[in-house]
Amino acid sequence: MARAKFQTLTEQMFYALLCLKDERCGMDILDRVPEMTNQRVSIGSGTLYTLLEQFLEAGMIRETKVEGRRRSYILTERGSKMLKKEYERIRAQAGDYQRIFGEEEDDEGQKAQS
Amino acid sequence: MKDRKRRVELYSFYDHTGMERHLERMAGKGWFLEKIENNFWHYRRLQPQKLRYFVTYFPKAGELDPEPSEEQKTFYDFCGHTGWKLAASSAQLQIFYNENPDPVPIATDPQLELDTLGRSARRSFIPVYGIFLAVSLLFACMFVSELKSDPVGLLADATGLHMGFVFCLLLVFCVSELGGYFSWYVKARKAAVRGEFLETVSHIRLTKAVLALMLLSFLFWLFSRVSAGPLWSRSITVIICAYMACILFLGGVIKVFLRKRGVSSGANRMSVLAVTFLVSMIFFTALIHTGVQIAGNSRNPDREDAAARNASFSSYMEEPPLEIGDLTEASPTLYVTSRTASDSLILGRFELSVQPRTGDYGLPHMEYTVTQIKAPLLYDFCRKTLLRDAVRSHGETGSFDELKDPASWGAQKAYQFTGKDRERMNWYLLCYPNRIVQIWFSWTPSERQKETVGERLS
Repeated sequence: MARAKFQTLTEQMFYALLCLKDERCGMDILDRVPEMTNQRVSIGSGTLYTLLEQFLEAGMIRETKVEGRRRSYILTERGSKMLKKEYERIRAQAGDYQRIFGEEEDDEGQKAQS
Repeated sequence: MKDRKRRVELYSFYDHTGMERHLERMAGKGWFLEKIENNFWHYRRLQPQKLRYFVTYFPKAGELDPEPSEEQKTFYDFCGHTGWKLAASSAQLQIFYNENPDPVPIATDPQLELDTLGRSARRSFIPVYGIFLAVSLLFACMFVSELKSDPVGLLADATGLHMGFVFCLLLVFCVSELGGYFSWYVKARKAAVRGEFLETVSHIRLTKAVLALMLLSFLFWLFSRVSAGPLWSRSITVIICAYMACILFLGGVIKVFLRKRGVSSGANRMSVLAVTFLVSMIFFTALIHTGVQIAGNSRNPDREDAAARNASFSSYMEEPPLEIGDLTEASPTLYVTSRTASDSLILGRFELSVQPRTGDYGLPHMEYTVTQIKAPLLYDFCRKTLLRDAVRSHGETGSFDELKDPASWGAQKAYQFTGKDRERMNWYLLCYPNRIVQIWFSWTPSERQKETVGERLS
């Protein structure tokens, strides 16, 4: 089944929004995402273009400055909430992992110590 | 050595991976795509290079846009920032290349890429092919119905045969294009949910086969039209073909000219339509005027190509081979005569019907159809089909019985229709070496009249 729009965020959506905590233009985001993820995540230029259009349309970001064709954006309150929701979802996932595997890992650690 | 070349590439609208592979191969051979104009892809020769190509779509772009919109330019800026340079664009299709052997692709999210392609397809590809599909389906059905009801008549009609065949091919092409697109789209959608990109499947072989068959069909039609008939009729065929080629060329040239001069897409479209309409009006007015004059003059046998006239049933339109006056004493002024003729490279057909003008069916009257078989292989097929169709046209309530004395008609074989109550009707099917004649009389023909029919129609 296809993902409902922005119900959850893909990794690329997440990092694009994260970059926009501070005012940035599209090309800054293209450079910033690989930097902040240690080259683990890159966003294609076409993908980012479409994402920015969709974020704007959904009111998750707003335009702050237009210099020629260079447009800068920043996260809106709605975008921040979305990002926070995603963060909590990821934390919850991490917590679930920790609960399942963390206990096993603790047990193994205790066994190793004894 | 040529530094530039043009090619017509037969990739489907959505076949982006096929185009990318092709362009990378071309760049490896030293051919670099520089523009797409009027369906021609223009290449420039450069040093062979290992380039990466990426084909993507910009849904808001149009074929007649004078220049990229600001939004499109912003998109190009984004792509340029990651090393992707625009090679060419045509309407929504955007083709980029990158000298970096391992660049970040333009699309990194399969769902978003699919959404973009889907939006572009819904704006142009799907409606255009949908209309073609509906029209070709309608005409292909009419063609098949005609093929079932009167196959011999259809084979004798070069234009009907050509058009019907072309519509069947167009139907196959549209089904393949739209079917291919939707089938790929559904699979790509499933792959996108898994975060995967799905390569497209090329249908180039099928497209090439369809185009080759269309060309063959056109040549069949063209040769059928120019190899027989009066000179004026043959000339008109050639002139109309030349006109069609010129009008397509003219439309393309005007479109590109206006786009390069920054004319808006709406004004461009209207201008192309207006010029095409005006030129067509002038052309057809001149053609009809000249055609009428030439046709009038060509009635003078001295100015006519006699061999060509005789080779065609079109000449029978002016001088039927057999008229009511050849068989009876009746005055031709008492009758209305209707006649039709058609020709193709394989068969020809002439039909004549003579009916009393006043509705006085006590007067002798008749109808006949002459089928000329130019491809001997079709003779038996035509004979059997004509016999079967004639019986069918009579509501399957009788049969054609072979006569013992075909020689009285000067024929190799002769059949007479017998009705359901064993009543013999004056309806005959006569087989001559290259012709099959169906003839119906309102009276019983005498031996002398049979002989005349044989002499005139064999």
